[in-house]
Amino acid sequence: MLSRVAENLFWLGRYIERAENVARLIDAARRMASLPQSINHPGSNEWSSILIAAGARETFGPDYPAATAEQAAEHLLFSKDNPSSAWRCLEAARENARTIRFILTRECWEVLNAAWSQMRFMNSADATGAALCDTIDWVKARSAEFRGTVYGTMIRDDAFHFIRLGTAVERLDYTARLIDVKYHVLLPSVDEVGSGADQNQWISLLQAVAGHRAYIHTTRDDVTARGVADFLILNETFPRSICYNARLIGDHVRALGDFYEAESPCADHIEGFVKGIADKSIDDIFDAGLHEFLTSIIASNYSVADSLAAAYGFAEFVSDPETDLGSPEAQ
Amino acid sequence: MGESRVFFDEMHLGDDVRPEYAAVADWLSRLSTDDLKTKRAEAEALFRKIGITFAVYGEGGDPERLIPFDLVPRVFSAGEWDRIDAGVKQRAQALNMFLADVYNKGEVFNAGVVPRDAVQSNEAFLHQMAGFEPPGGVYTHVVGIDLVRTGPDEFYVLEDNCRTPSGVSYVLENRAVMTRLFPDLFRQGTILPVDDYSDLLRKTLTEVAPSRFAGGKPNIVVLTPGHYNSAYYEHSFLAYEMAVPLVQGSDLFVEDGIVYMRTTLGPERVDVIYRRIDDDFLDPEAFRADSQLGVPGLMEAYKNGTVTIANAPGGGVADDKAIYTYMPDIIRFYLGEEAIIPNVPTWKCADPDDFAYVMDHLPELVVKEVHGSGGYGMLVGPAATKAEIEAYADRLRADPKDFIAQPTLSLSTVPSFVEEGIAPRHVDFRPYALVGKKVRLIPGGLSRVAMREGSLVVNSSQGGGVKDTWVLRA
Repeated sequence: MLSRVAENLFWLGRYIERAENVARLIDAARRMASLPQSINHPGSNEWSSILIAAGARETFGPDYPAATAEQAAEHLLFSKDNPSSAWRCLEAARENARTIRFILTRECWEVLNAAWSQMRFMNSADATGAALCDTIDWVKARSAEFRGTVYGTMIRDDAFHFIRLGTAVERLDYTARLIDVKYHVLLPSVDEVGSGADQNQWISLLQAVAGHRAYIHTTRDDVTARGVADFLILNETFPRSICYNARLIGDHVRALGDFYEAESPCADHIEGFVKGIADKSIDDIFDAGLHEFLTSIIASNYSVADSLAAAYGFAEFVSDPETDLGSPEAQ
Repeated sequence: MGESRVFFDEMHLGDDVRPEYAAVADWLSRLSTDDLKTKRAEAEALFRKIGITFAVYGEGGDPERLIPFDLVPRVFSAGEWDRIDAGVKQRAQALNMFLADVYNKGEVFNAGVVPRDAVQSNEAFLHQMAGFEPPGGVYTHVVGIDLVRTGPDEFYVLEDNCRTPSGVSYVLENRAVMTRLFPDLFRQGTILPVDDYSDLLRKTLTEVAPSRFAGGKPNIVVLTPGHYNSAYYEHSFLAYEMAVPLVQGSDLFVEDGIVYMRTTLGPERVDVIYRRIDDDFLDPEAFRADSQLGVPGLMEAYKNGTVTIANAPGGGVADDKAIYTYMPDIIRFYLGEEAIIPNVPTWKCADPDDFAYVMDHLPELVVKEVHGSGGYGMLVGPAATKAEIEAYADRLRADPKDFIAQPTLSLSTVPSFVEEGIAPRHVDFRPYALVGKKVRLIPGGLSRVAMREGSLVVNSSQGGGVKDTWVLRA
């Protein structure tokens, strides 16, 4: 396969997954903002926290600590100045797909084309009030539709693996960022740890990744900080956990090696990455500091993407200046 | 309906419906204007969904436009098609023999059939091709022959297209949309299918691969200038249908006279390039040095015989409007036959007598630039104002040899769905010949229709539309 095409497929997977994750992130903030306790903590603004988690502080501007729900949702969903907005993601996905549509099944292309032709007519009214939930659902549904169409129509060749690699790299990144939202929201009120507000915020996070019931089902236990972090980072079966997606990256790199009948040049690097996560315990992570762990995971996830780029001749590497999740001082 | 008396309407003969249109007439009689409007909206939604757009940049508005699709099909009987098929194959063969000759022995010059100067001083003549014979001896693998019709038995060749003729994706997509919207029309099984175009194209390209591939599977690619090109959809469509990579110049490189593409497994050899970029841009080392679209060293590899380029560079010299006027002689010279489909009578303004005639009759003629295309820069005498005619006359006087003129043909019409309802609109037709070891055609082609009343200009760049075209089973 052409290297340019592989690179575009990888980014196609990332863009669509990113659009979905932006929607999920807004959903998490929306749920947290509707919790009564948070009203008591004007210093903790869910909306500015998700701007940080989404890497959108700079595009939003210096007023981000005081961002309102409408402003943050509009910026993350529709801003043309924010390269990670859902609008820009769908635009880029569709444009990317257009340059390589000969390799996609017709059904895959039509999903992207249709999604974009609706998105281009949406505006800030769709990020306001009750319409916001509809828009979040719509974005998630388009991503699910694309994923399902890829699963149902693409043969399991290199094209499939590159799309899935993009999806896994992006999802791993976002789950790390999502967990970190909690860190930013909570930090101004450390004494709340273990309180009812704290628990509700963790529930909101789980709900945003469709993981609340999954958590209960798996742990048969109360929602606790440690439990949720363990679940979202280390669970082997939850499809949005960091560990699951690290394994997914490893699986697809091995499948590429099988398909090409030659072990991938980045196989060792990626195997090390997967092991580095899977071998950790939640105690290790909490001892070292959750925020610090998440920051380092995001950085090594980018180095995974870079090793793929080097192995398969991508024109550009993916290391991203937005790797920095931000520190509490920045608030 | 004053017009239908002047122009031949393909659906009617006097007050009767011509037999090949019986099914269409019956179908139309059962549809109301509202039905047609609904179906037209559905067709447009389908085209949008598939993303079949024609990119027009630099004119403002939506750069991705739909070509107007007219729901009323155009129909050829089996007998009519046999003649078109034979005439187009004859023409495609003669064009290839002509190209092989002018780049090699030059017999056509020695015999005094075509002046040497008309070919060798032509801008489209590439001295880089002199003395070179491409694999299989084929120069123009995909030929589009533009035909017009003026009566039940009167067909003319309006233009040959030997470079990178486009539009075939519309033929296939128009049919796909029609069968989806009106399945009943196709149930009787009298309409010949066109879906095997991409199989035939792939077969053709395989046949002309460098000789070391005899019987094997060459690596074929489609070379596009990129997704800003107005025909990008078609490039992408053909690559998809043939299941071959769609490459840009930057995906390819030449090393030691061999063309490679950059793949995830490193360099991979390329054997056949179906290119949809112009000669000028193919290779900055051989042609335009500023080309970002091409592949440095490609011509050298080509002339080493390691790769096939389809269509061959330099083929444009055969479809030039100045050469067009010699085509009946060219067919006679190489094949010993008369042209099955004649040329439109044409005056060459390079010829002093012809020039004088043209200048005296501008209001009734169509005048075209010899090197022009796409319906730009032409004068349609009967539709032009006095001032337009005078301005054009000045251009003609300045450089007569750049122009040819033809009578304003009474182009046939086909019923079409327009604002007023069903009304006759002028059409032309482009069948596509594929030239490999044999010449192949799908039973059909692109019917373009001038959607404005009285207009004779069918080009999509000028607001023309397209129709599904049926060839009926014998």
